[in-house]
Amino acid sequence: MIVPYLPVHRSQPIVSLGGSHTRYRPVMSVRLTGSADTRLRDALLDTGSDDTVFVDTLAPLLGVDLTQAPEINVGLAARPQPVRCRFAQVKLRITDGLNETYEWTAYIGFVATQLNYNLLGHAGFLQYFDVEFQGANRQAILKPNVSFPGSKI
Amino acid sequence: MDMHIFQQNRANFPPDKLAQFVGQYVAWNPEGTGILASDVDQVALENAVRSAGYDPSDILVSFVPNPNESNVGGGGLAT
Repeated sequence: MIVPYLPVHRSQPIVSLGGSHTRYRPVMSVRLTGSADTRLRDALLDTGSDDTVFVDTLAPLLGVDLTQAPEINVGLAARPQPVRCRFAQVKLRITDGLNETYEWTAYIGFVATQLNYNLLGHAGFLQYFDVEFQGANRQAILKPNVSFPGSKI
Repeated sequence: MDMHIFQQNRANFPPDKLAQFVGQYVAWNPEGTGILASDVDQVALENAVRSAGYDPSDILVSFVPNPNESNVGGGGLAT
């Protein structure tokens, strides 16, 4: 499944990109479904994240009850202190809008802080896909691997 | 929502228009050509989406980060 990178335009030239004004980020849309409802959110493919995390203000919109949820503290980049993260099962769905749609259930973390992007990390997401990050083409190719627990719709 | 068309349109959304929403959540129209509503609070944003006549479950919501900031990940906090 092809995931085009999202262009992010900067007013100042980016020195590390040879003066370009545009960064390209592997951001994709993910549908999350809880016990009560479903929502569509952006998230960043992040190989540096152990877990898949979304902001916790999303949980009640899905009907996800975090009051008794297992929790840990996670270290987020640029945060001086670890952040509370509570885990719950949701259904995840991704699609390219053309030929490929995948759906599976996973434990994801809900963090009590603002995120620039929700994070698609190893547990719950990247563990189920082999991903090729094509820098020149500015796209990622996702292929479900042998551990993928869901279905292709 | 046609995700393929949506992605193409959103990639071409004028950056100067998007810049107005830095630090807020935005609700994109299903075509990816415009923003239905914006707010710093996702619940308030959903109310605005409903007021605009749309079902929040059909609408992509994204946070608009400061484009002039560079995101650098890491393995967590060094202690």
